[in-house]
Amino acid sequence: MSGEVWVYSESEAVASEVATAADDVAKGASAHVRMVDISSLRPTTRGSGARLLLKGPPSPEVSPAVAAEALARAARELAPLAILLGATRDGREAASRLAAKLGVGCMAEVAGLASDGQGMTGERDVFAGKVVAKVRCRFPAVATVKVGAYPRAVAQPADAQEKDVGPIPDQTKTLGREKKQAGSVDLRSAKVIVSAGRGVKKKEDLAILAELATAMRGALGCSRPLSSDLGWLPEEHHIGLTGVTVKPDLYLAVGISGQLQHVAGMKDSKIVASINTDKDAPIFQASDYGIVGDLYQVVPALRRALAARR
Amino acid sequence: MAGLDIGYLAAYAISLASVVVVAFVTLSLARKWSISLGPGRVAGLGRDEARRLRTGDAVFLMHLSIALGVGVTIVDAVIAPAMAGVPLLLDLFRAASVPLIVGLVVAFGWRVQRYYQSRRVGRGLGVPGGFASASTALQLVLMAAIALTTSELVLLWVPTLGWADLILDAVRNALVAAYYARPSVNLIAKFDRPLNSVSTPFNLADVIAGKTDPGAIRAGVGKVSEFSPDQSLSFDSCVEIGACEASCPATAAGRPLSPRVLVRKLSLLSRADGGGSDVLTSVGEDELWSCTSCGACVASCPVSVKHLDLIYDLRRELVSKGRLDREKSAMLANLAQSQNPYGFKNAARASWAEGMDVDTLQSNPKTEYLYWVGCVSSFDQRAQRVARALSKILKHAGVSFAILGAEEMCVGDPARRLGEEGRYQELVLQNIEKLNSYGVKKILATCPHCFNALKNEYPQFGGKFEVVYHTQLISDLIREGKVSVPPDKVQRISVTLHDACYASRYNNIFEPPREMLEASVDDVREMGRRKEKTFCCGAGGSNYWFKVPQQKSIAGIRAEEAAGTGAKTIATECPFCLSMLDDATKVSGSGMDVRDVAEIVAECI
Repeated sequence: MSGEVWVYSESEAVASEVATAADDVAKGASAHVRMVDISSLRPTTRGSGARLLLKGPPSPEVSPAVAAEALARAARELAPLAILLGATRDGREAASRLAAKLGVGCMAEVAGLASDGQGMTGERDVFAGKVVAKVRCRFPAVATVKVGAYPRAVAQPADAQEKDVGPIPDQTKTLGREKKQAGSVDLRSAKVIVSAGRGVKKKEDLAILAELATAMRGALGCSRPLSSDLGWLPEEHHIGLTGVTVKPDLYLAVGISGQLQHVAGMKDSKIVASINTDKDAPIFQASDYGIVGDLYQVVPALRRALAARR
Repeated sequence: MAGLDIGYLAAYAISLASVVVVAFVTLSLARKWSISLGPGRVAGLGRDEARRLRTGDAVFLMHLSIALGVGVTIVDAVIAPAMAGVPLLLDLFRAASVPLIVGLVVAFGWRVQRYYQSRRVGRGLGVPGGFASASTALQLVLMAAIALTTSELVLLWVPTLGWADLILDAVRNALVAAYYARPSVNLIAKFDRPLNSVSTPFNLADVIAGKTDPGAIRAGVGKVSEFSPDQSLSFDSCVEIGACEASCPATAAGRPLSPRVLVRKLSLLSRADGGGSDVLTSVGEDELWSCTSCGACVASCPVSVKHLDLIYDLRRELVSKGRLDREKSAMLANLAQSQNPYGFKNAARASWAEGMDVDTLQSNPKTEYLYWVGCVSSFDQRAQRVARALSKILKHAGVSFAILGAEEMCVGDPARRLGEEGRYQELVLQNIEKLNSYGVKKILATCPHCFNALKNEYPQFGGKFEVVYHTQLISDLIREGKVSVPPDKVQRISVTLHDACYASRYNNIFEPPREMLEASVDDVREMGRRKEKTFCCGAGGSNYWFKVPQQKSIAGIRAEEAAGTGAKTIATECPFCLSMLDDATKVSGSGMDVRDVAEIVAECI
């Protein structure tokens, strides 16, 4: 049979990105791309080529373990050349389980996929993105595709083929879902971070920094004393060696002295600006821009200036 | 010899037999562990005990009261029949008994207080019921031994009850034989083992040379039975004195660690099933990470239990199993990729020296000292000022020195304390090669962790250098008059010195930083916990790089103690202490200034 490259992701948006990557692999291997759904056909179809619906597993929620088993059962019968998944949290788990079940290689978090007909190559970031490793895997193979590395494939009409893989008991059970507490932040993906230090005199004053962060469409972070010692902010706001490491486009350090403990967690920010009353504060040496002044005057002034520009 | 009756003779015989049992048990334990009890060792121990006596440590005084009390009463019992005929002898024993009785009564009081503390700590740690009762039993034995010894000494004053004295002696000796022979043997074996000695599970150079089979290497301990005989003697020697727990900063901060509980857990585990079960089912990961390696436990233990030896091997196990969270693995990854634990580029290491005309070894290999700056003073903008202050002093005094600049790397200490022995030795070998290639003879350090590794650990791997701590060199320069502070430059500030564990307790550097302060400020105040009894800042043992659950911050406790002296400035001698206490004073809002002793001296010249 002519080979197939399967695409599966629990996220429809990611699946359409993976489909673009699959096109590159299929081209080199003269294969076809097949979008795989499990349990229910997606309402809209993105991506090129044909579709395969695996029936049998519990619906509607398919855990990574169940997805891996369903894909493995279908793959043993239909023998695709490659199965590409999205490198999401679930996708990573499903891919590693799937590769282990099939006893084939797995390339993790790759982009720049290509094929020479015998196998596929991909590029992955190693050493925290300092080096790009080119990896190769012989067919049949499994890979997870780096999210955001490919454009989404255009929707195309497709015929759906169905395949019953039989019931698959889910070993995991969702007991309940809880919303993250209000104000929870994901500092690692924030483009702008306003970060508070011990220059803030009391907990209530953090409000003016939170407002500034909102006005700048950014997130609020802090140095260790504020979260770990004073408990003014939850630990997830703590930026530094013992907290989160961030690299936003703009990092505004307010009332932070600039200890190594903190600087090591934000040194890779694109632009660092800081406000501190002490002109000798070490943070200024780690900054591109610095304002020597009282944050209680500078921050409101910044707020006014931002409001005026709207 | 009149007045001897059958009852008395029987009591004497029993007492004498108990002494023989004590001697026999002690000697056979010593033989079992191949430990010499020769006169040389015992004399050495005596000298060491005298040294510790001079430090005035209260726990040690109690320990000594008990040890001497037991010794005196044994001698008294053995020569009891002769006593009646020689009144002078009895007077001598009575005279000796008075200070011992006082010491023992205080020791008993301390024991009762420690008992309640240990119950409280145990509840905080959630120790199982079996552990708590075993712990109580051992503490009751100790209290009984103290009470019996005290009673014997008191009975010296009631000669009519001589036989009762002998029976008490026999009972007490039975307790000594059963519970205290082992700690005595452990003490004689280890009293002079320096705190800064760390076990080395393998030698990387031998592995590289093909002399050691890498497959045979086992770093870490997963089962109690895998501990070495030396280590198992350590944990089996614990008699719940509780000095370690009383001095431990992790326990004080409400972290999930008490050195006493940890050691006793290992001991009970080894007896429970021959030591075959997984240690990590009884010992928590955060329990092990809570340790700052400050060494207060080891230094305070009257019977020379070496807690750190045990903790390092258990941490090595966690590392080899990959049980590391994001912060810890990031630190190790930074060491691997950037050769410093922060992930900065080493090219920027000498940025602190810009405009200061500091030589590098590349440009001037003929200098007297290599100044080993260390990662903190290289990259921390605040600690860079310490490096600049030191340079200013050295230039003022005409001392020739150079730095490695971009070629400097981490000394390896954070990796070793975390339990990553391989990464540590990798850095050590690279560093030694570099230092030797420049023909370095003398090294100067401002970080006590670098200093300790270079001075005490590198020689084992072939790196033999003369290593000097900055406070030692500067105080020498002051004494020689090469650095002098004119009277009008003496700072009118009140300062208290925070001794860094790795400088003071690990390396006995006590006076140099004090001499520096005496020369440069007019009001020096001391904290209660100082010199070999200093209290950690919370950053040691790699704790600077990760978090463990705690109720209070260790640095906060120390900053409060410093504030209690009424001083306005805390003088530090270590860049980690500087950073931790700086944070802590900001948190407490005490407004105390934190500066390195070198900065304080540099401001005066």
